[in-house]
Formats: sequence, structure tokens, C-alpha cells
Amino acid sequence: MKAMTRMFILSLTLAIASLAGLRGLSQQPDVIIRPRIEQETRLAVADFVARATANDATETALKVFNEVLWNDLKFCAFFNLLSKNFYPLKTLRSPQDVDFENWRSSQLDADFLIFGNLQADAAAVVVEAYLYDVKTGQQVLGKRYRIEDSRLMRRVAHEFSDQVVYQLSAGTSKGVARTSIAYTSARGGSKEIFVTDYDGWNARSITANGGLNKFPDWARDNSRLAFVTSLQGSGRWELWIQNLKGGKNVVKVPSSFVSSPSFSPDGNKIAYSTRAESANDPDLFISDPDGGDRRNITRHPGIDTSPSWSPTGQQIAFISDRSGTPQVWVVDADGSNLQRLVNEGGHCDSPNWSRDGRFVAYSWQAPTQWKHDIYLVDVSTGKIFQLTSGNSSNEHPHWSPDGRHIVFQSDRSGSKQIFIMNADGNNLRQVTAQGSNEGPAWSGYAGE
Amino acid sequence: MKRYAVFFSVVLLFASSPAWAGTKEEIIRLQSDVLQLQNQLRVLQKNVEENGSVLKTLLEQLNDQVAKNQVALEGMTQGLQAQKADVGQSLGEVRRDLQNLSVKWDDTNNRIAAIHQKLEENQMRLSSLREVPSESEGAAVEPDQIYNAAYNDYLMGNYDLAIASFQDFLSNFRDSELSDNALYYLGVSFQNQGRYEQAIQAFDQVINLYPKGDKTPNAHYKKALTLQQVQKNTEAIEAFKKLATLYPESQEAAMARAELEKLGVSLEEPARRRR
Repeated sequence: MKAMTRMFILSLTLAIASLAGLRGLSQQPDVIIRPRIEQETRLAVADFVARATANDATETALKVFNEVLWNDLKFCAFFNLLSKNFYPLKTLRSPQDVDFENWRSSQLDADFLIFGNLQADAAAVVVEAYLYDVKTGQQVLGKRYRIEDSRLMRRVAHEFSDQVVYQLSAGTSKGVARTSIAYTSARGGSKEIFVTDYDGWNARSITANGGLNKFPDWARDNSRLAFVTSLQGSGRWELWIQNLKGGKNVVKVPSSFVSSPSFSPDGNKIAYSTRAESANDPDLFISDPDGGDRRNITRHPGIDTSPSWSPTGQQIAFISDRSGTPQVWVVDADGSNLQRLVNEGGHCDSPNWSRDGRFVAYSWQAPTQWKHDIYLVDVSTGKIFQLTSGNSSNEHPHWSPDGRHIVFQSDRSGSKQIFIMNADGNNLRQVTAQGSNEGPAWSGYAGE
Repeated sequence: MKRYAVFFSVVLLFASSPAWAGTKEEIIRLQSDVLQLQNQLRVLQKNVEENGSVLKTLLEQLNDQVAKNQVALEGMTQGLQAQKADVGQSLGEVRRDLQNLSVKWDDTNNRIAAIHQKLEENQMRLSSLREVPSESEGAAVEPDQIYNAAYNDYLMGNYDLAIASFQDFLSNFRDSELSDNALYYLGVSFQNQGRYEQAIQAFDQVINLYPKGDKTPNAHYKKALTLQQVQKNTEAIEAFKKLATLYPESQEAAMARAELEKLGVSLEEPARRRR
């Protein structure tokens, strides 16, 4: 209880401090991510140690666990992770080993402390993980994990990281350590859909049909992936919905062209770009995931593509060239109330609506340039923020489910690869490195 | 302790600042803060409930313990004084524990009450922010800032807040260029809440007050859809027809014509008959 109250007051302080700070310093508004990425909470993460006897299996598991946990907590952008150089030398195995006074020292001044132990034997790996409030000396979290397959070591570290984020953000974020990213990977002549853990590990193929598979999008509960497929020699595109527990269905569409599917927030509808029977130009359509109840919501001679739903499912952001060049537009899901959201000339692509409804991320190619960069537009004010810059092309932004990060593709490393960053453009991390990868989509939370 | 000090000083700074010159960002942030506070309150309440159930379990265990002690007491046919004294003492301890627990429980309740109060204070600040200072010397709140905050609530699906904000906007800035938009989104917010009569009223106001407004075809269309939702199908058809006749070039008119066709209603006939 005390810890929660403290956290509450801490985050209230953070919230109000951020307001107060803004009153004094009005030069810093830019993109504000709530809670702010101020890394206000000082978190110490002591290396986990062997509980009893050190053996090779324990050493290997420890190495993986410590590295993954550190990287997760660093990337989540909630904490100021305190450098291990300043930690007290005493090994922490269990709560009675902690001398909180040392962790409160002015040099370290930790707010919270993570430590624990791990033991591997022939049968299983057991991890005991603790989160303590350094100021009060009280336990915030105590978890014991038992895994029989040491390949799940990363998973355990991810899970504990998410628990820490959830507790210390007072439920604001569930963390992203256990989320996944789907993308298109070029393999020889074909393009297949792949899914990887958010940190680039555990990549596995979803399709292996040797054709072209593109534009994956997740149902928010992670049960299904929608994408478009052109099988070799077929000369036509199809809209597929792959159930990740097995089985797929091909959505009936009215023409041989279909592109950029997007699941509605409740997963009961799917929006995509296709040509109506009588038209030459693609319009946006919404239908049930089986293709039933299909409605054209744009009906315009221009090219309409790349739909992305608002979090309420009421609106859809999309790309249309009806004004001359491809720009970001918004239309109600019933087809009425069309508005232009971005009107900057040049070439916009791939809008993606944030989970809190405030921003639409998109890529933009300025009229005089060959490359794209990632931008956000504040939907209510129309104000635009640039997130990436430099000589490389950055495209296809997609929000993380907690709204604090964005995944995108970039050719900054030479070939097209997948990267993630904070929603304010900082904290870049490369996800893929092999081959050529594009069109990423960040998963939701399983069971949501 | 340092944290608390920081917290209170920030609150003081916050409370004592003169004439809240609210800017759009601050309103949005305050709203998002209130939302967060509500979330956190929910987490806290859940925690209290959990504590309550822990307490209940403890009480049950204590009761069991008391019961056991009594059984043991009855079982002691020898009736040794010393043992009786022991039992009495442990009962006393149990009572003391219970008292301690109830003190802690009160403490928790007090904290919740304090947080409630804080939340209410913040909500009051928020509503006072919305009340536009009429002639105060501070920087005037721009109408479009209020409008954007309301629209933002609409986008997030916070329809209660959106309705309150659009209404505030309309009562303060009736002559604004954004009034027809505010009325329109007020209507859509009502519609999303299932308050269909109020939604239709708002759409009618857009239609009647702003016949040349850019949201007027939308208002006709949404009014027709809302009428369908309350099974007023004849009136819905009339609304679709009106839209198709008055704004034939609009996207909404095209959708109205498609809808009428689906319903098997001809657009032309009744008009001709009347002539």
C-alpha cells in the first residue's frame, strides 16, 4: 500500500512538475509523451547472482537474464538507469543482503532497486526477482519464476521488466518487453511476413509461399495478422488474414488489386484499399474480416490508400492524392466528414494513429528531396513535429501499444532495416540487421 | 520524505500562481493528468480492495485462532490457572492486533480520502480553467484552444469531457467560426453515448443556424443515421432526401443517394408529385 501511495504521489509530482516546468520554460513543448520521458525515477538494477552453487548453466542463464533485463528497462524510457559503476560492492542475493543506506547515498540516490538470484540445475531454472523502494526499504515486487526450457530465459526477463514498468508507472503502461513486431522480409526473389520479439530476437516466418507478402497489420489482441499476398504467377493481389494459432482466410475483395489492410480497434472490421468493380482508382473499403458487409467510404476519382483507425474506431486517417499530391486525410468510418489533416505538398505516406488519439505519425518526402522522414501531426491543432532527420530515408512509422515508442524502417545502415525509437525521436534501437526488411507493424497486447 | 516535500512545494507553486493563464497545452495536459489521476485512483482503489480482502483473510484467521483457543480451553479439563492466563493473554494480543489493523485500515482510508480530495481539487481547477476569464488582465484564452481541447477529448473517446467542453465553448464563443464544428461534434459525442435525442437536436442546430457551414452536409447525414438508430425510418429517409437535394455535390449526398437506393426509395418522385 505504502509503495503504491508513494508511486501515486511520485507520478502526481511528475505530472504537476511537468506542468510547472512548462509555465516557466515555454521553449520546450515539442512532443510530450505522458508520463514524460524525463527519466525522473532513479532505478538501480544490480546484477542477479547464482543462488547457491555456480555452474555453467547458471552462468549462461545469468548472463542472458541480466543483459535482457537491463536493455528492456533502458529502452522503456521510464527510468534513469543508474550506472553499475557506483553500486555498493556487496552482492545482493536476497532482501536481507540489502543495506538500503548505501543505496540512498548521495552519489547513487536510487529511488528503486532491482536485484535477485537465479539457479539452474538439470531440471529447471529458478529466478527470484525483487523490486524494492529504496527510500522506505519496502518491497514493491517479489517474483519467483521457474522455467524448464532455458531458451525461455529472455521471456522471463521481459516479463519481470514489464511488471516493473507496470508497477512504477502506476498502471500507465504495461511495458513493451513482451510485444512483437511484424514486417516484410525480402528473401531471394520473394517477400515473406516475419514476426520478431520487439528487441529483434526470436524472428520467425509467418508466410513461406514464395510469393510477395506485404503490409502486415495486427489485430490488437495479437490473434491475427492481415496482409496482402501475390502468389507467384497469379498476377493479382489477395487480402489474407492469418490466424496465428493456425488457419487463414482470404478476404473477398472486388478486384485484383488490394493493399494496406488495417484492423479496427475491436478487430471486428478491416479497412483496406482496393478498386471498386466500376472504378480505375483505388478507394478505401471497410468490411467484416470475411469480406461481408463491404462499404466504400471514399468514392472519389483520386487514389486513396493506407487507412489507419483512430482509437475509438470512429475515424480513419489515410493517404489521398485528390488534392494533387499524396497527403494525409481523415474521414469518419461511415464515409462522411472528410478533412485534410496534412497539407504540406511533397509526398506523404503510411499514416498511423496513436493509441491515445492525439497524434498521427506518417512519413513525408519534401518536394525537393528524395528521402522520407518520420513526422507526427497533432490531430486537434494540426501542429507538425519532425522525429527523424539525416541523409537516410525513414518510412512506415507504427506506434507501440503503450504509445511511447514508434517502429519504422530506415536505410541508415545501408540496407532497409527495422528500427524503434521513443515517440519524441530519441532512444534509437535497431531491431533487424539481416537482409532487407520493411513495413513494420507493432503488435498489441495478447488477450487485450 | 524529500519526495513529499517536493510534492507539496510543487502543489503550492501550482496553487498560488496568479490568474491561471491557461494555454491549450496546459488544458490538454491537465485533462490528461486528471485522466491519469483517475487511472491511478482506480489502481489504488483496487489495491485497497485487495488490502481489504487480505484484512478479511487475516480476520478470518484470527477468528479461527480464537476459536481454536477456545476449543483448547474447553479441552483443558485440568483447568490449570497458568494456562488460562496464557490463553487470556493471547486473546489480548489478538485484540491488540485487531486494533492495530483497524488503525492501519483507517490510515488507508484517510489516504484515499486525501487523494480523492486532490483529484476533486484538480477537477475544480480544470473546470475553472474552462470558465474563460471574462475581463481578467491575464492572457486571454484563445477560442481555438478551448475548441482543440474539446476536439481532443472527442478523438480520445472521452465523450463526457468532450460534451462539457464543446458546451462551454458554445456558451462562450457562440460567434466563433468554429461554432458549427463544435455543435456538430457535440452531436456526434451525444450519438456515441447513445443520447440520440440530444444528438439530433445538436445536428438540427447546425442545419438551421449554419445552412452554408462546411459541417452542414455532415450534420444532415449524421442526423439521418441517428434517426435510423432510433427506428425513425420515415424521418431518416426525409433527412437523406433533404441532404441529397440541398447539397447534391457533397460526398455525403452521394452516400445519402446510395442509402436511399438501398432502401428502395426514389429521390425524384415525391418532389414531382408536389409540383
